[in-house]
Amino acid sequence: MASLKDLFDYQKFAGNSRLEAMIKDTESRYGSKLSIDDLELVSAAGTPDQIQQQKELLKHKKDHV
Amino acid sequence: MKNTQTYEEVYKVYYPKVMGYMHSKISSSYDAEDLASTVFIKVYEKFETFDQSKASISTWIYTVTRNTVIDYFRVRKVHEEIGEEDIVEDDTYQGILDAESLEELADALEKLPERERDIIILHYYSGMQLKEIAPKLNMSYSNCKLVHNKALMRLRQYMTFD
Repeated sequence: MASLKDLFDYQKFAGNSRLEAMIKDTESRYGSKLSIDDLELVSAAGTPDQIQQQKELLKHKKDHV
Repeated sequence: MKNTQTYEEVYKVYYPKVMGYMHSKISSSYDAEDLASTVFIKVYEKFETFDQSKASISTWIYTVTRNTVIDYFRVRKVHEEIGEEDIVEDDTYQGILDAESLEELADALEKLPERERDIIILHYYSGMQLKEIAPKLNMSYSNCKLVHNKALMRLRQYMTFD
């Protein structure tokens, strides 16, 4: 007998459309877990605050040229 | 039972599914493509001798795909997602994982209240711990555990699983 974990893992392969719709609905409201690689990418790119600060700084410079 | 499909037909149908699975597990596109190629080399090697009376092609390719991902993480000593207990040595034993079992799961999930369904999906599909889910759903950890257990009991009324 398969476990729930097995069934959901199989879903990642088989892509049942009804399950996919429910999963998308849930993840659109709560987001999906970031993998370690994703977290490393975020870290490499800087924190969202830093990125926002850089954007504001660039905008400020443009406005004052 | 002899294969009714050719290798080319199987490749055409299952390559997108294998890639979808790889992308859900591995963030590197290069590694994902490389592993998908490994899967289809294994499938090609055993295709002529594969016995459809033991398992469906879909279940077989899924099992080969899953084991290939487990090997990938084992080589890199990354065990955060796939434990040793998940390794399936026999390529054909998981006969219960089929399209019908996913339909049964979809039927059961549709009957759950939204919050219970969210917890089940976030925990078993997205791989979040209940401690991570609780604040997202604006509830205490103990309440989240309670609702999770309730959801499992309800699911068991609608379907059978381990």
